[in-house]
Amino acid sequence: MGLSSLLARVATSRCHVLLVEVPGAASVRMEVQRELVRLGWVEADSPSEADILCVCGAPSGELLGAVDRVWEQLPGPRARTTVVTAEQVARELHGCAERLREPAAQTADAAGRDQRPAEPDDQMDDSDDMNHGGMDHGDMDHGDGNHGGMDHGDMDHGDGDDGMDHGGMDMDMPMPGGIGLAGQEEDRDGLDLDVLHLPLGPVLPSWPAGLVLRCTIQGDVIFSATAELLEGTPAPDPLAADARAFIVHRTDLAGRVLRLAGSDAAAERMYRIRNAALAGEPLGDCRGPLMAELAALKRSVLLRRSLRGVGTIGADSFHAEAGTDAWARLTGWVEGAVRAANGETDAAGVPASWPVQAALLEQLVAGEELSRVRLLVASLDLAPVGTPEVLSR
Amino acid sequence: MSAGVEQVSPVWAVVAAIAVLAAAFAGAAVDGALQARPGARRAGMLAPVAEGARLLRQRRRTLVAADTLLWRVGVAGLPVVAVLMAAVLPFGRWVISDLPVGLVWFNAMDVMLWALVWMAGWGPNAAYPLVGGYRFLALALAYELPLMFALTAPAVAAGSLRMADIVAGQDGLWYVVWMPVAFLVFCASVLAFSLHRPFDAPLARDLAGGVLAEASGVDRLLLLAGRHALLAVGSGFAVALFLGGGSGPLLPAWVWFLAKTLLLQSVLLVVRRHLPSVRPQALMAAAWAVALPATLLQVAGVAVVVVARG
Repeated sequence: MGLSSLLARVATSRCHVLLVEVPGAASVRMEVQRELVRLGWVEADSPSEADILCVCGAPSGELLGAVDRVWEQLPGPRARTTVVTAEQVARELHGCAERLREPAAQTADAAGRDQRPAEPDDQMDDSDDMNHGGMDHGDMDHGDGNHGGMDHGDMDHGDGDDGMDHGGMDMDMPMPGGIGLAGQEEDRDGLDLDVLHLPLGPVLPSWPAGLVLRCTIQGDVIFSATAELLEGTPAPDPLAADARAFIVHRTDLAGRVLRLAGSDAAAERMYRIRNAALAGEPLGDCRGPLMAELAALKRSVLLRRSLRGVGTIGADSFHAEAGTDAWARLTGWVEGAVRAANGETDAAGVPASWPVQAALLEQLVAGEELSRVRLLVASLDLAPVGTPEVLSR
Repeated sequence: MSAGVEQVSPVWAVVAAIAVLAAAFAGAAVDGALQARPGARRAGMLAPVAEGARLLRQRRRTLVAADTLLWRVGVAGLPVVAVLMAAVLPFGRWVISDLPVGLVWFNAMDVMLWALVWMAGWGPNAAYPLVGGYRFLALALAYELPLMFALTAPAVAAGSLRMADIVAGQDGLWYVVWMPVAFLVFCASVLAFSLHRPFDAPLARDLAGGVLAEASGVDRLLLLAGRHALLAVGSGFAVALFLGGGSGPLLPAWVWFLAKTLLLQSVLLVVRRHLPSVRPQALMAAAWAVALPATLLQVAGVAVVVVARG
């Protein structure tokens, strides 16, 4: 008894939390991230890493379905919570850690789960090989082809996002686990190459809330993609579009790109500035750290090399950020935040509507390699501050 | 203090394995302290304890149509390779196996990682780990040749592939002094084969953890421990090859060796923390167009010095 409860206590001193952000709940997500830093906990990259699934905002429809499937992929011991307001955050996370320590609750949870991976029940329409972790086939909608990327057309491979489809048309040949063979198509060099369908999102680290990018990939090159924004509860973002909200929003975006580019130290400092602004510290205090970050960014040769030329929007585009690449957008965000901390307000550009954004995204993504796609998606501001109507379409 | 290296009884291999794990743990503790927010460094040092407890409690994933055998081999292989490398590493004045081709053995073990990391990525039968596994092969293609030539430099200078001879050859003047390029390339390669930043694209966040994406519980623990063990052993080899092994005044050789290794390991962890990831395709040009010629020039320079000295 003593040993296992000691182990549980030590283990829950550093929980890994998988965050799912419902569109419009950015401020809750930031509050959770702030609490994680305070507790010394870790943000998980994938469901298999996580102990706790923390849903920020109340999901509905397809997003709820996706969250349920991600929940099935947490190995356990596991705990799940939905946080809707910032005030609940500390209490809910504490409650999760408590449940993780509870042997009886965890045993009951484990007993209720299917220990075998979900086998496709008939191989004709089941190309979802990789939905490990016992995903429930009962609630899948075979009728409509986009169930958070989880219907059997696009198979779930279970890392936090949805999944990947082995090309999947003709599945006559029974394969191990009922997986069909991948289809073949010509790649960019005109060679025959396997084609897979891999939805990116909606649950993926450093990824815009609610975005699903249904990609056709060859190797790790994305051939084509369609972008979709899953609707969350259309709650208005509590952040008003003042200077503080502007700084918070911009540093949040910059931190996301930096983390994805693997600049953890810089990302953490950026998030620290964001958290200070979020906590209501005087904006003038943010100015110094922001200037230092901007200078450090401009000195970082490696970072510039990996972001230059990623996601360049054509100069002739009527998009507000025409002619910029990920690097220019990142530095632009930090510069804008410095100006806001100085008390100068940028003229708020009219945010593009979602169909325009989606078309731009699909065009930028085509023909790009997976790591560049991730960076370019993170470098686009799909939910400009103070315009929640963009999210609810 | 430059007494020769002697081979000890194979029974010590058990101690060596424990020492490798302890060094890996020390590396993880330093890493935890570096990652902790300011004011919580002490708690950060204990991060590997909490992490270990967490992963020991966590269940394994069972995946559809996973290649379980290859997956397990790949996952468990990382710490095994680290220990096998350590078998020829002179720890101060002692070495488990003083192979005449110790340096080649080290290189062979490092090449084995190509297969192991790839199998760890292939095994789960999921897109992200697979992409991660292939990314490692692309990285390995970039770093392996510069690494091999960087290894050649001390071997040419010592006129031997035996680790004991290489350590003995640095009596008076450490190789790092006249082979700085080889040393830097070797250190970068240590970060690369131990999957640390800036060469961590196979485990990157943009792939939801890549090779790690589907690993949970013990599998994840082995992968993460293997990574730190490889960094520790790689630092040990850098010390033996370039930093004079256990040579140093007053203190016994093993203390010097350990101190140098832990220091270099910490320096590498600090460096890694302040660099962004490099995409494999971006590394290729730098590795083959800059690092490879520079290393070849270094080896040529070393060869000329050796011939001139007769």
